[in-house]
Amino acid sequence: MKMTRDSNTDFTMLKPSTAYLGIFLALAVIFGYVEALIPVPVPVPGIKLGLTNLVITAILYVYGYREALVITTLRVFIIGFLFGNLFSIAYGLTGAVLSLTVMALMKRTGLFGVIGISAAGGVSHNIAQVMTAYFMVTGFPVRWYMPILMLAGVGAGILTGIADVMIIPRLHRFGVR
Amino acid sequence: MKDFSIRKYIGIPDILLIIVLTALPTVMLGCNFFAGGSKENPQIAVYVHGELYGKYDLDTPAIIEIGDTNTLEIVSGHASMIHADCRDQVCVHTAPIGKESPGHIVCLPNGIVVSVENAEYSTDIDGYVS
Repeated sequence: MKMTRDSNTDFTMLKPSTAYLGIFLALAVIFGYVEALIPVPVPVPGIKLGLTNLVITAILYVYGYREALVITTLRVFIIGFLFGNLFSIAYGLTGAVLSLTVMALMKRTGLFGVIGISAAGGVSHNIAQVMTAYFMVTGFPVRWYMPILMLAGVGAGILTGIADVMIIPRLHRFGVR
Repeated sequence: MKDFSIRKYIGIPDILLIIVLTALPTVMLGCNFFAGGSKENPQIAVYVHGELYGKYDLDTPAIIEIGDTNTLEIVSGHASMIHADCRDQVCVHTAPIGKESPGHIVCLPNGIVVSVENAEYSTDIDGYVS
């Protein structure tokens, strides 16, 4: 019987509500915009908190990989068309898809908790973006950007992971289904 | 009613993972500093017939005699050939090279190549995302 499976962690078999996913998408888009307004006092471009990752990780836990993939892809295109250009869509898409896939695979193993998964998501997001930059910009100093952005990814991932630990269990109180 | 509680927040695998993910880039950074060396001071390297003739700091003005055929001048962060004993004077007319304008000055008759090492390339990323 399917219903006897551990319902604590596996929400994928439950039918997601399209309306709530729409709200999550709006939240992800607005977080991406708000994030651009927060100044980061570091002289390396590309370091940010990853507030959208907060939403995507929550969707991954509450709904599942497919729902999170749809939301994050739509998010990249919406932000790209509103505020960016073709390049920002390319950068965003590689980072978003790789980090979500890494997080989903790690979640499937059952070994890792939210904080570790979120940290790995942050790192893989930045690795994907640095690699994209390497292929798109000749002479891009990968060996300097890669370690710095990896460290930043771990830090940001841990922070958003801690936030997700507090957010995800509270979501049902707001009627999220 | 759906249960949204998370069974696992953080465990030993997570802590190990975070340690690895922190150590790896730190080691990479350390390697860069030790191996790559002087990223902060790009240098002018002079090669004569394929062999290294000398390396010079871009920030200290200097006039360098290369053999007794050519003269290289380093001034205000740029290097340019100011004298050559050959007829065509191609190297003398080559634009100065420096930190922001990496390139080479080549003197074919005397087999001299002058280039910038550890140059910073301008990375014009059009936009990035979120």
